[in-house]
Amino acid sequence: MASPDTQPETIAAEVAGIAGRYRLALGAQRFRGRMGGRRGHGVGSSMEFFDFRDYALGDDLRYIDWRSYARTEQLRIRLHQEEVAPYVDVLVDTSASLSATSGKERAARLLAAACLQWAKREGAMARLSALGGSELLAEQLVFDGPAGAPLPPVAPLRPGGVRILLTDGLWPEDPAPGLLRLMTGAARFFCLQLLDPWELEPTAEGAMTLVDCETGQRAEVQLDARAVAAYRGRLQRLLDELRLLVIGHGGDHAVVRADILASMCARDLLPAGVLEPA
Amino acid sequence: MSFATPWGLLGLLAVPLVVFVHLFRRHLRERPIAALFLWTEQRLVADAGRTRTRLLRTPSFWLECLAAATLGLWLGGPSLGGAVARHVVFVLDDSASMSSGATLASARDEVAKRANGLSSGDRVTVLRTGPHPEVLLGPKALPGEVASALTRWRPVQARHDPLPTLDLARELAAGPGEVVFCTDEEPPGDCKDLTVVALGQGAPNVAILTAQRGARSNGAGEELRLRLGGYSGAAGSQLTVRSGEQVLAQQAVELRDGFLDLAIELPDGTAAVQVQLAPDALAVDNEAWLLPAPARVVGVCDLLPAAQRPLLELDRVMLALRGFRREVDASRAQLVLSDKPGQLTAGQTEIVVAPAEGERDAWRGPFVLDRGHPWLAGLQLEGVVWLSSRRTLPGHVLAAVGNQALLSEEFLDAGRRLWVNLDPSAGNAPRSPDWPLLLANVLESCRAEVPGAEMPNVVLGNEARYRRSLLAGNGDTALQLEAPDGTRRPGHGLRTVGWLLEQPGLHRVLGSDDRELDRFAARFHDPSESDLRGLRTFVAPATRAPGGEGREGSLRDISLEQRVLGLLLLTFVVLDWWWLARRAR
Repeated sequence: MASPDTQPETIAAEVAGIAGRYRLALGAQRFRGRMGGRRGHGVGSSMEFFDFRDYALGDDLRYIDWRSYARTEQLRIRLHQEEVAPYVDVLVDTSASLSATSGKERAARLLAAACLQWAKREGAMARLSALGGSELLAEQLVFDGPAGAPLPPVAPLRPGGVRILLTDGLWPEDPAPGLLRLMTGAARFFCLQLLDPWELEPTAEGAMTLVDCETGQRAEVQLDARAVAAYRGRLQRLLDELRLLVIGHGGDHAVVRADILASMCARDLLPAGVLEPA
Repeated sequence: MSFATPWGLLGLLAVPLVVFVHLFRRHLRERPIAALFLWTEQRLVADAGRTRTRLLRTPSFWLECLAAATLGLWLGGPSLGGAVARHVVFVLDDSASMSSGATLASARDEVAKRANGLSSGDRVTVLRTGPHPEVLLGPKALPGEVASALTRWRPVQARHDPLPTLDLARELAAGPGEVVFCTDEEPPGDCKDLTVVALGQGAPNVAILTAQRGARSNGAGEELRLRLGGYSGAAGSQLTVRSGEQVLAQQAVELRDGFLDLAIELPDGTAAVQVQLAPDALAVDNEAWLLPAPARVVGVCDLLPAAQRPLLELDRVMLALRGFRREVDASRAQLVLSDKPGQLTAGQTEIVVAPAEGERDAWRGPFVLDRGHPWLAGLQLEGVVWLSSRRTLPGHVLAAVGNQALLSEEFLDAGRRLWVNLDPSAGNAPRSPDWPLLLANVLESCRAEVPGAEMPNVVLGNEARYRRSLLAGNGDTALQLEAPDGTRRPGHGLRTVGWLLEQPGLHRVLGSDDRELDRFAARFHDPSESDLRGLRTFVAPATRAPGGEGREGSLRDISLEQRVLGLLLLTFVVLDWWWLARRAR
């Protein structure tokens, strides 16, 4: 049973209050999608000039460039830029590690719902999919998947669209092959690496038994300053590798500290260029 | 702490036990995480192999080790060279003169003051002198318990030798101990190893030296015979004789030569008599209780055939005997007459006059008698012609003629039996004076078996003896003696139950359902204790340690160290609990 903080109504209320202040920073890329307000790859009916071509029978006479005809006596057609609403694929890592803590799980649900909300505001056809799984609704998110490298969803990813990967990036294996498959064909790729505050900055709490929430493995660990420092070093290397991989292939990477949505947007997503003020 | 204190060594075993528990049985707080592989190098336990884990030196571990070590030290009784604990053995003189005047109060105050001056780590033992030393408190009790022991000290004993008690005190105080002898006169023997506190003071005193109750010289009624003694110039007193609320006599007595003999007639049927003198220095010898001599009536059950009775002249003989009653139930009689042996109970005597059988002989003597036996006291058998059967009598022979036993005594598991080999049909034995004398002797010996108090008037320090009936329904199966102050003591013994009397006054013997069975009157009698002239007041400190110079085995006052260690132990336990509770949150 979901806790009160992860109830769909609670999540929706918080997203509704915050998401309107921001929008996805999609930039000037060309996208593919349905009719919308973003530049597409082809010819459309926007106000922005795109190119000329010779008149062909059947062309709309309204687009004949009469000035060029006056100079050259040849009928030419003015072509305008296509404007589309991009496809947005929100890819959620549903492994159990996203629910290692209740705060982390709640933050994941908030971000997933907020991404869908921002996509809708763009007029895009948004789709929420689990990594290695099928399309689902935000309310149907269940973080109980197995550990392993990232896999594409069952439904093929739409080329030329925006892809937002929501994950904690804590894969024991090399994620590069899987990530590249996710990034291939995307016009814009965002990797939101969501981590719990304790995962980012663990405290020296003495001896304790750590339980891996994905594999169930247990390990007795002495959490002292030296151990924490070693962990943070390894975590930082892991974050850097993922960042380099994403940025190196044209994507955007943001480390998000699990928190309330307003804090995550203002503190992490806005400076990272994932969002921009609406 | 040493190997002589095994608890300390055992307590130290708790330290490795704590380490063992931390090595093999550890319960740590759990935390779910997303990436265990990031903590690989910090793991304490290998995934496979031995179950022993790396020792976690957590605050809880150190606190538990410290607590275990402190426990071991606490049990071991460590000493940092604290003061030597004292062991004081107080010997209280229990002779009656200690209760004269203010001596008893002074002695109690002195002992209490010395006990209060001791620290809580010191120990005391309180002994009371007497024919047999008695431990009132201890050995090695707390000083605070002395007060209760002193309230039980009421000296009423006759003069006795305190040396056995002092020797016991020296043994108890061997080593670091010291002995304080609280008395009222010069102690006997060499007492330089004791601290003698004498608190006696000579004072005039009049005492009841003798108090007897008996028949008057003319044989009519009872009289009270008293002998009073005066000491230290005491020349007179006021004498009062009471029986219940009735004052039988009240007169001023004057002791001319220091003594006075009195005889006071008592009315018929007078019950317990209380003789009392005016209060003076010593109260215990101013009072005497006297109970009337008990009527010890012997129950006689006659089971002889009617034809044999006139031949034995029993009706004539019984008329001459006194102090008996005829009893139909043989089990309730002390003397049974029969022509054949029966089943006896403890304390019963049976006279068996067996019928003649076979050949008989008439004997005229000489008769051989066991004159030392009480049954044959006064028997002569002169001129007696004794006709007897030729038979062998059981038991040992009391009277014989030739090779024929005439009287024999047979001891049984319960009771005893007098066999009479007599054919009363001929001869003159039943008509001789010796025949009633024999029966009277047997009757008197049976009188001692009558249930009840053997001697109702007892001097303090002597034993009051009560003879039980041993019959069901008599209510004397479990006996208790109730002293004048109401305290009760159970009696022990099979046939005769005895109590050592320690209080003057009337004591009640209580049977089942608190039914009074009999009474004892106890009075003090010891002229040497009534004479208070030799009492002294002085304090003689000990000039050497009791039991020699050896101080080995001396006890040190480790209470401070133990308190500190106990506090530390508690602190460690509380801190560990706090730490674990905080970690659990």
